[in-house]
Amino acid sequence: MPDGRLSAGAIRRIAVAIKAVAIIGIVLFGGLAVVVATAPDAVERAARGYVSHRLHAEVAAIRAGSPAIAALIPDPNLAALYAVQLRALQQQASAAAEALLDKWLASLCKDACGDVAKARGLLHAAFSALPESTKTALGNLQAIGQGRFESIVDKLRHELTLISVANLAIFLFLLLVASIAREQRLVVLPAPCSPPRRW
Amino acid sequence: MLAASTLVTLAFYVFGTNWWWAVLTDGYWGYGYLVLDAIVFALFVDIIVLQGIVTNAILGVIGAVVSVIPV
Repeated sequence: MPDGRLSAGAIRRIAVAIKAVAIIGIVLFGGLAVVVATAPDAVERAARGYVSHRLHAEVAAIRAGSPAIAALIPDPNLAALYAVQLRALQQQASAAAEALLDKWLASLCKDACGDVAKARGLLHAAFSALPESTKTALGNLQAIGQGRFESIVDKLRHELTLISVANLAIFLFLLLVASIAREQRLVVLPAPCSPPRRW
Repeated sequence: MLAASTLVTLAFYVFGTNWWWAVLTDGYWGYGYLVLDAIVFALFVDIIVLQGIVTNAILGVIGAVVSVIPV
């Protein structure tokens, strides 16, 4: 009658599977770590390709819902143009907002409140109270629009390095333990769950 | 268990991340990946070795706290 414990053959097969997973992980993350460390250009190309692909998708989605934007971006290289348009639109919007702000303050503060700078400071403070993620996203979009990928690539490389090295260490540890352990069943399950020792 | 927890965490990391948003907002996992891996590993160890004693206690405390809160 089965007692719920694994057979020696099953334990051996699981140990082999663990070794296989460890080797695959080492190859995968070791390769990734090597690429990140030695070929930053490849990381940058991948990041540019991904961002370009996503911008294409975003532009296609916008074009589908807005003929005006479709007219603004007739070129097939949509990502680059989108970035340029984004920057131009941002500058236009910024100038329009400044002009509107000036008009609004002028209409509000003709005589009663001459401290325009103070009012503007309050408004700038309100803008700075935007969520950090929104401000970061705006900054990164601006960097993409200006073709400045260094900051984005640096952060991506840092992340990839951290993840690949951490996983590499884990899989190396697994392979090491699975290789040098005297009894494979101790690798698979801790003593209370393993079959009784026979010696 | 370490292999399983690493694979589970890796699946969360790869498929559970909105990479476009992460690139835009610098919302990478960083050391959070290691923390999640450690938590998943501890959960597996608790369930398999300790038969869920710690998980049961934690859920019991959460249940007690929630039951005290008036609806």
